[in-house]
Amino acid sequence: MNKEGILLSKARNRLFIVWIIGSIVPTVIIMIQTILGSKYEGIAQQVWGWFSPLIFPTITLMIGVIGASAFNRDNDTDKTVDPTFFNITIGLSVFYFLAIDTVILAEPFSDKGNPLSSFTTSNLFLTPVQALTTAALGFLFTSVKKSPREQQASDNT
Amino acid sequence: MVKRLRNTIAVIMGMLIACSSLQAQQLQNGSNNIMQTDIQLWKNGLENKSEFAYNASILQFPVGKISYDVWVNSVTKNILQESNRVKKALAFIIGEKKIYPSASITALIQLLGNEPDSIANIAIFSLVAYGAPAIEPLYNTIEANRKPYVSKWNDLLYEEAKKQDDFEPDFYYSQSAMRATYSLRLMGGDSVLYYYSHHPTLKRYYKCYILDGIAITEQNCKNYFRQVRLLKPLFTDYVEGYVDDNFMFSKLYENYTRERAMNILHLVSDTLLPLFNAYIHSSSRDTPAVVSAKEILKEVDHLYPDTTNWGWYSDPWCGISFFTKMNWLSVHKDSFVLYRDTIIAVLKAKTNVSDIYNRIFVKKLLVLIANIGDAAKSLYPFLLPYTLHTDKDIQYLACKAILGIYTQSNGGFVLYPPKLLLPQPPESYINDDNRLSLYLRLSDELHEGFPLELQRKWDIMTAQRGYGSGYPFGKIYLNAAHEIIQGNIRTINLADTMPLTLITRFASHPDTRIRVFIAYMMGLSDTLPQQALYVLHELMNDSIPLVRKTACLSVSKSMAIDVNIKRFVTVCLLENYFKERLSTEEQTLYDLDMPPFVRAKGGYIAVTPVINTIPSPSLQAVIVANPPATAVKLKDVYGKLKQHLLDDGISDVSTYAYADGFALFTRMERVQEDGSIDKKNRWNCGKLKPDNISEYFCQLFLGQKGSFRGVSLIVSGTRNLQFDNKLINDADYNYLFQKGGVMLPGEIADAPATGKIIHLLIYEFVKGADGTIEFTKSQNEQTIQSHFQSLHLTSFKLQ
Repeated sequence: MNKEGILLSKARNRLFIVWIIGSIVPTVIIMIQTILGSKYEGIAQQVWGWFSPLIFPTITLMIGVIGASAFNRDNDTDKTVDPTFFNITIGLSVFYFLAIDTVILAEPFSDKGNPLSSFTTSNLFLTPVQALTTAALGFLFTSVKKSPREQQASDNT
Repeated sequence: MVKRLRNTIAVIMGMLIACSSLQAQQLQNGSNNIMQTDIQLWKNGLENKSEFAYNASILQFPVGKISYDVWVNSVTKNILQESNRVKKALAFIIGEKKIYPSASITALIQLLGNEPDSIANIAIFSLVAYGAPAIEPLYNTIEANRKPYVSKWNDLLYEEAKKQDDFEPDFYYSQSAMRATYSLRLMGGDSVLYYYSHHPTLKRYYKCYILDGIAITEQNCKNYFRQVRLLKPLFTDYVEGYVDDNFMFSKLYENYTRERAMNILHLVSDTLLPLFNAYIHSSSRDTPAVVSAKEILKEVDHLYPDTTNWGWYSDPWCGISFFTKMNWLSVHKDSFVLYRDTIIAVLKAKTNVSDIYNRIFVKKLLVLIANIGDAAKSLYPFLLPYTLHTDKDIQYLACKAILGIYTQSNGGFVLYPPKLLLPQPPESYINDDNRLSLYLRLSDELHEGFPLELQRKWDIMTAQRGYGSGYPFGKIYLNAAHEIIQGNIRTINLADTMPLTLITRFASHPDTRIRVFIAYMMGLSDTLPQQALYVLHELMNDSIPLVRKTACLSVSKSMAIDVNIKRFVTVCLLENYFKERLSTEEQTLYDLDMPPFVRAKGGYIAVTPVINTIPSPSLQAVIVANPPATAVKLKDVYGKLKQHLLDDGISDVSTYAYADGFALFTRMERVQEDGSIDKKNRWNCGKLKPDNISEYFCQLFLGQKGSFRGVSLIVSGTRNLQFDNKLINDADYNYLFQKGGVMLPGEIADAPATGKIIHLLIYEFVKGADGTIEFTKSQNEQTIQSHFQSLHLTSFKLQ
């Protein structure tokens, strides 16, 4: 069965949108908590130190790749991605953000007095999920697959 | 004039005729009207839950004051709570349908089949009491396997009586009324008579047939017998005949050989008397003893069919006289000895009645023995091996039998259900060394040799006065708890010198074991906070799911700085379940050391530690008595301070000897920032979980801080206290509180309080965003005033 692929650029853009939207909720919550002051009084630096690596490196990568593609549009116009893999990546990303939101939103119910200890503990399950998600994203944002036209030219030579 | 007189007479006659017609019509429809009234009353009673409870209590437990009290106090509540299905079914059948279709009755029978006997009986009695014809198919169904002797009995008796030459109907009916009185007494005692005499419907029968024998008519008597016929089998299913009025036991010797007569006497005195007693005094109609009695009666009937006419069976008409004869047997010396010897012989299985008893399972025999009272004391050595029998049921019954042997009250009848006496299976106290268990033995006399570790005799009247409003029998609980603490024992025997009315209520309380353990907690500190009591109660409740118990244990962890709860956790740790649940770290964390006690003659005595330096507080003030007290001792001051703290809800106070006085430290508590009490979470120093959405968002964005305090009262002759320079932290304060004693040392207690100064020290702590609790020094002078007011030290004032 011949399965139609999704254009790589389109896939990257969709994933980028998912990540931007997904990161807004936890980032805004922690920003408000930090600005109000009393929640993370004395531990704000550690909290951001826990939160930043979860999201920003990946978004930075995405922006870099998408930005590069924006100035070299010819190369990527007809590259496609397997839709199944794309959907898996989307699913992993959504699950990853849900996990982060859960950790932050459920913290008031935690028995631990220090929020940072809850966050640190959550790394036990966030890290593997993050690894899976970034691995999937890595293929889409860093690997170079020849377009059909380049493949044909290569075959001719 | 004549015409007017004639008209007047005509009018009067007309009115009389009309009244007569109306009366006749009312009489004709009387039963229906009464029925409708009763239905309405009954339905109203169902709705407000009073009428039914009253009727049920009268009908179900009419045999004496003890049973009635037990019923009113305990069983009625259960009925009201648990038998809604039955009540609804009855209401449906009687009230809604107004007819009694067989389908409804069948449904009711099925429904009652799933209910406890007591509820089923109440349902049946209710139907009978209201004269519901529905009882006929119900009765027939229940009695399907029995001989319909009851329905034929009256007719046969009447026919036989009519054959006699001197038959006089009026005399016969008056005799029947007298017999009916007996039968009512036998069926239900005075309470049923009372019920009949006050019931809106039945009192007519009572007045006509019981009190006014002269007015008895044949038709009325038949109606009455219909009532009796329906009631009798429900109460007296062991009655299968009647005895000759001239029957005497002495005739046994005239008609039988001595050996045979002795055997019969044995059986009568050994079984029927205690069984009769058991039956009369039982709060349930199907106690093990009664069940055993039925089995024995069947066997007797099988082996001695010709003795049926000799009246083993009590007669509803002559029951009282029969009972008197049985009482005569019970006090007859020779019979008494035979009674005892027979049982011994039965146990040895070497007598000529063994063929009877061999047919009876040993379990039933033990149950029987458990109910024969004082006469079987000498059986104890024979029964003891049964407590180690391989069959656990036999073990259990043997223990119960021994308990019964030593129970003299209530005609030697052992309380039912047996779990009241043995909350745990016998093996728990025979072989289990690790389990903290409580065994209640109810007796009016103490005997040596019973396999219990401790026996105590307590004044039940003292206990009745109670310990606190919530524990009417708190003194017993508390005494039991102290015995556990001081003697390090696992088994307690409670001996009661009063009629079982009181002790039964105590022992039959479903929470008895739990309450003793809670009292065990209270034994060291008078009382525990309500939250702790609740949690402990949950923990000790067997029906609470393990998940819930785990949660409760977590809560108790947060309160584990309380020495008493630590001891409780120690108990929990002995249970395998908790042992698995608690990690080594947790077990170490709880510091399960005993509070400072030393072993002394007769048990343990408390030791009050000495504190030399007081940690520097956040706030300090001096308080004085208001009005000034004169000529008081330090123990008076100590007692007053503790009482005030207790009034304020602070029950856990740690005591130290300090210089020439003493120091008190209270458990750390959560307070508002201004020093007032946080009533909702006072004793929760951990993280508070949000209860509603607003609290959640507050905690999410603002975090949770907390203010805490520890209160210390120092009574000393020194005005300027010397404080330790080192700042105290929460762990230090908790350790200080934890390691204190529970009472004032004797030499300090009797010292005069004159010249002593009471220092109020407040240790304030604040919880930061990172969850750590840190000591803080308040600079606000107003705060000490707030703390003082929150402590409710009403007999004192700030200086």
